[in-house]
Amino acid sequence: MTKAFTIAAVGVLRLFRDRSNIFFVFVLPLALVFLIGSVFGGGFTPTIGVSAPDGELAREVVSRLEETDGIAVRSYTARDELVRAVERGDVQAGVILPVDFDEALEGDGTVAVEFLARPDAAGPQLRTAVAAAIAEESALVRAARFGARRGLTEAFDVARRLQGEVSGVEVVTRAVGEALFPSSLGRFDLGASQQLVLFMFLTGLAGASALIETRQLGVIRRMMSTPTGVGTILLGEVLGRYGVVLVQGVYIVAFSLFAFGVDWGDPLGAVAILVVFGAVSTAFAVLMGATFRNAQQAGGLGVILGLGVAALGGSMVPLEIFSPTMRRVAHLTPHAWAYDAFAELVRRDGSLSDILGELGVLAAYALVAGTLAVWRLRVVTTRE
Amino acid sequence: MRFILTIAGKDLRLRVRDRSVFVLGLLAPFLLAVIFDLVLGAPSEATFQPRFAVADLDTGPVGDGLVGVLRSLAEGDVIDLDEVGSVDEVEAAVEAGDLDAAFVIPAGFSQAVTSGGEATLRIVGNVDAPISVAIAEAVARGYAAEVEAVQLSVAVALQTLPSPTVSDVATLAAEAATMPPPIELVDVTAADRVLDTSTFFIAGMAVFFLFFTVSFGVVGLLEERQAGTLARLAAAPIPRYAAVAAKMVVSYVVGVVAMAVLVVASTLILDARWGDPVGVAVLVLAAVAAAVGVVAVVAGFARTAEQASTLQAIIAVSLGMIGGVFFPTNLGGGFLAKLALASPHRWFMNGLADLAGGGGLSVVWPSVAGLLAFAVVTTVPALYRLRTMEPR
Repeated sequence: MTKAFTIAAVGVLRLFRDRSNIFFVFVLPLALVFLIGSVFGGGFTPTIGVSAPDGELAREVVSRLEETDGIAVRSYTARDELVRAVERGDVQAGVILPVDFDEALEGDGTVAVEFLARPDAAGPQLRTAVAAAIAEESALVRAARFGARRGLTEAFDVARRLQGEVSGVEVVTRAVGEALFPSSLGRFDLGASQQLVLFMFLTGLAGASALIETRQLGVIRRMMSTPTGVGTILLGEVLGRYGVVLVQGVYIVAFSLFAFGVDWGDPLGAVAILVVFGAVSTAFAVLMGATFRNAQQAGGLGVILGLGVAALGGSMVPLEIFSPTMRRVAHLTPHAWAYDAFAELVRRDGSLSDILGELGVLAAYALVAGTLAVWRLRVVTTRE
Repeated sequence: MRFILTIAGKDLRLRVRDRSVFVLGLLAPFLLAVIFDLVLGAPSEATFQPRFAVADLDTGPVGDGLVGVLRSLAEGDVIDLDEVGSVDEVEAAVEAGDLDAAFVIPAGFSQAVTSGGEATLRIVGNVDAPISVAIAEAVARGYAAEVEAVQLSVAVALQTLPSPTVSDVATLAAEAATMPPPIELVDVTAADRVLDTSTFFIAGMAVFFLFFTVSFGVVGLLEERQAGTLARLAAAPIPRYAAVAAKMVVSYVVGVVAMAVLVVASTLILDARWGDPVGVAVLVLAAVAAAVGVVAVVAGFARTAEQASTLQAIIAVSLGMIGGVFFPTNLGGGFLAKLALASPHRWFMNGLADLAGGGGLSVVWPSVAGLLAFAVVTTVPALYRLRTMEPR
């Protein structure tokens, strides 16, 4: 048993010796968690770009827009810049107030506010928000002009003063239904569990190349010449891969916990997912390492498989926004089951007992792929 | 020149025999783009249409006015609208997620508005449809503002009458309602300079893996040095720069061929729309030049082939990530959007996005200029380093 651990320790040590791994295993996953959290954290909020001149009435329009829940506002100084941003999809719509906005309204003119949207975006819907802000601002101007027409002086001031006194219409909104992503879900929480399974699997598959190198360099053959049983050597190699995957997993969980305050839910449950999903990754890694002969090709294929399966399994976009058919397809991947398990722990405050089903499926994956992998590895090592 | 072509020809044959270049250059980007498109390709933005319902318990004109506004939005395909009679019914539908939001116009609403009493419009929104609920609120607020405009106009005008009567108020209200709106909202359709999802994914993956594909050629120089063949080349009666130039030619040719195959294959198989062929060709040529420059400068500062490959991979992944080839980082705005411009990937994607809005060479030149700037800034020091590299 000590021998198996020694072999395993060499496998893990090789991970750290290769300096490129410092980037791919330790920097990249967290950079992605950070980037995805920054861009998508808190869900998608449509943004309206605004280009407005300086002036009291213009400012009021902008602040009315900003008060609209569920919509973000970004200011642009130059009109061209805003047009560009809308065309490129940086913002979903644009509003351009003319430079003489205040003067024209305080006078007697009609002001044209431009609403800019791409044909395929949610332009018509966002237009309603802009129309509301403008209608609110118009109310004041209309009343002032109405008063002025009837000979009232300082009509603007009178209208402003009376604005708080008219009863108006109150709009009250009440939210119902159960939230898919509760508001307690942190900015980085969803991305962290997605990246965790993506990288545990990817790093595992990358380990397949290391296994192929070990075989090709004759390291296994040499170990066979020592008084060590085949079973011990195989166990050592498998444990080595497992160690690498666990280092990756524990690192992401620990670092994201401290650096980004990611909520991982019930610790016991999280550890259980780590242990079982690590076994799944290891099983697939060993299977690949025992099947391929060219380390470079296995490396390339590992990247395709690692990213592709992760995308299918909900590690890039949440499973909840998949179509029902795609969601069923997704559950062919171990990733989707790990995703579900983390969702149960983090979003629904579940505990270990709530995720036994998902853990069972993952364990079955590990068992089937693992048995196949060990059998293949035994065949190739005893033959070489 | 002959020497360069001879060396490049030999290297190209080597690359074709080693199938790694096919895996990384063609298979990986194509398969990943297919998977991404399959999983993420659902056009969420294009089909966004809020599902609303209205329960009008009021029988007066003010409530009817709101229903009219909603009907015209539904006719314009801005929203879906159901008209239902019972509040319980709409609430259940919203709670179940069958509707995004519902308007409830309470009984006596018109009466309350005309008499200056407390009038309340209720909206019931589903928690998972924040954008649709925001739209519903906006529609309601817009209508409320119309009502308020009349109320406020009447209140202002009453200041001019010393002792107003009830009929005065009614007359004023009717007159105020006909005041023309001082602010008009004019619709301007912006050009669509955004790639559709299929094209976005294949273009993103193609340029991402391009930085791996082109590395094979330049790294060959370091491999030759390790194998000792570079010293032999140096001893041969050929100019010093020939070997370096040959490797860069190999990188460039491999890159252009891989990109060309991906563009054609994705157009035929994935229905990708790359845009004007001339524009795409110029962009691809410039992008490959930038990619060769980046990998060459890395190779110039690396000691071994392994070190070069590793560094190149790290740089390619980092540039791809900030350049937004996996997911659109431009949505984040601010700092991330500026940072993205430090990546040639972003310039390539921007160029393609410009092409998506129509036009050819004339619209891509800023992106081409950006890519060529990357190429020059990286190729010059790379050439200097690689040319003066010790052959062993």
